[in-house]
Amino acid sequence: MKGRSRADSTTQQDAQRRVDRIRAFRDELAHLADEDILTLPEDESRRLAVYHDTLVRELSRRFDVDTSDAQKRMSWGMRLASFLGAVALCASVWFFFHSIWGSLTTPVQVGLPIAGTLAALGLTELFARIERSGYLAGLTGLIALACFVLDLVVIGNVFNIAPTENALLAWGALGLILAYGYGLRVPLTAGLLLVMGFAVAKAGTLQGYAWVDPLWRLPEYSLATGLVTFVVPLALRHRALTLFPPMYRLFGGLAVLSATLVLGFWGEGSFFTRLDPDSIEEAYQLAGLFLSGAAIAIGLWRSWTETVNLGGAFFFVFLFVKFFDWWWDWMPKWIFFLIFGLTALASLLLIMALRRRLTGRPA
Amino acid sequence: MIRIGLIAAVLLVAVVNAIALFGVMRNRGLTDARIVLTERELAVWRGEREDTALYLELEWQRRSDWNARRDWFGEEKLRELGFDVSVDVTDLDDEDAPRAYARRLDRRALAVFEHDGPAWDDWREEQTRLHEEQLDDMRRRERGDDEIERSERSHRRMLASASRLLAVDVGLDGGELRRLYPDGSTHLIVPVVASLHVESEYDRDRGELIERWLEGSITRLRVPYLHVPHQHRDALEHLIEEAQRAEAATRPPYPAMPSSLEGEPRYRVAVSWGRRFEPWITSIERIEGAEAAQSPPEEVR
Repeated sequence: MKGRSRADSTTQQDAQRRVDRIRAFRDELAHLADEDILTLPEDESRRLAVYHDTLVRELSRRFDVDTSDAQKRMSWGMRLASFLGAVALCASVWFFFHSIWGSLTTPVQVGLPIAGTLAALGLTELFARIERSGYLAGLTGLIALACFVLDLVVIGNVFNIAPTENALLAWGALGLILAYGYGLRVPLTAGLLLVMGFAVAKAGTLQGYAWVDPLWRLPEYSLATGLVTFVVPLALRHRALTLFPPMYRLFGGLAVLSATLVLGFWGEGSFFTRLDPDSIEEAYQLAGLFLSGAAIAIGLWRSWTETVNLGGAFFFVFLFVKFFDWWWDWMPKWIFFLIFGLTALASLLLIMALRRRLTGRPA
Repeated sequence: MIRIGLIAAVLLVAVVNAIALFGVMRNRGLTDARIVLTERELAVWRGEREDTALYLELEWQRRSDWNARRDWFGEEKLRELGFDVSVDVTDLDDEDAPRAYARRLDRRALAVFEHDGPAWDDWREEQTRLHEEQLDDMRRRERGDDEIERSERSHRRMLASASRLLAVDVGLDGGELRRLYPDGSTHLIVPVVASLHVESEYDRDRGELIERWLEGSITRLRVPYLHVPHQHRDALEHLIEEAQRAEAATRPPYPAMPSSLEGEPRYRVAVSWGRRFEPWITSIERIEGAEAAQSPPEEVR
């Protein structure tokens, strides 16, 4: 949630990294001095300390970076408080409007959420300018998005408009604009999920389906959408907003692996209606093992922590599903869990070996 | 200097609202149907307890047995709506055939609803016939006169309060449907979601499958609730107030709702449907003296 603008956000992230490096350098230097391996001459040591102190103070003043572990922990707390506060305020706006709109005339019913959206956008801009950490801009950005959701819901209800998936695109677009305009990650999450939902629903409505059904009854559409989301950062470079690509990979990967998992249990839900559902389930269970394994390998190769974690979690879920499918009914439970545990251990050793091998190679 | 993010966000909000409101104007620019309905077809509906909005829910007769007897929503209509009906289910030896339809998704369509016309007459006759059969059965079982009298009263009340809207056709082309049903004061064209089912009939004595066929049904209306504009609430407010007074002591978690219709309807509503087949309420009038005709609820029970 930190950051003010595309340019400032980059600088702030760079500034935080620089401060972290300085702290690590000082720790290591102190450790080397304790071990009598390296001790800088007193005047050089003093000059270095003055330089670092000045630099850290300046970066802290300009970019509100965390300069200690305690500050970092507090930042997480502030981030959480900001997020929960935003969610609570959104709910408050929603329920307040619903508690009064019955007594409003139609123009006021329609105008109020629009005015609320514009006001929240104005506040986002204002806070982004005057408050360096970006917590308040993140909070008002989320309220702007909630007001826009309310705006279209109200127009749909007041004028009895048949529900359409296009609303997901409009909301998602505002989420992405706020994310890229102000470097905000929560609106990015909302924007990505909404646009992915729109893509799945649109693929369904183009074939004549009711728009809600494809979201949960056509897992392969979610799989394809997730795959596209996963590779977006490869095509769209994020030189400034370096925290955004992991989120694309996380939500894209989550969609791919969740859809594969669902199809591993529910063959009837597959696009391939003419095939035997049992065979489809088998195929998707194996595909799930392969895809989660591939996610681990790619994640290690490219140093994508979120992809490794996601792949690892799903790999063990798929493994458990497959073992359960094969052995649960006839095998004594202690042997079942022993085999599963040993396999998990072997997989762990394999991943560690792979990690050693891959991290030695250039990314 | 104002950053581009703010400009883009404001532009998006403005454009999206403009598109939505232009769509409303376009819909209302041409009236496709205008029908006067009553509480029978439009029941008061409210959402959350704290939600002050008021809606009217469009009710229609959903009896699938009646639809099946009329045989208007069969394989041909399903194909017309885009359902893949290529797997034959009528061959009773092919046990796997119904599975081909297990995951058919519901499809968007337009349905024609007839109000208080031949379909309603037919439905009413059918209900009366079924009721007569039920009475015969009760007499055979030597049920008491009170019970028979209660059943007759209940049947009369049902006929007096049931919705007279029945679906009579479906399609994808609104213009073509309007050509087939040109009277906009008796036939509504409404966006719906339609589904496909495999229906079966068994020999009751032997428990054997004797027939299997494909049938469509209307799952839901895409606009099931009509928002009551502020200027038309007065005609319904007294019903809500009565319900609120009655429920004030208990304060249930849901909003106060008027008692369901059990006699003569208490209001009439003029509704128009536009170019995009989306409705809007043009007037609501109280029907004076109708409240007195409402039967006490315990009689129904």
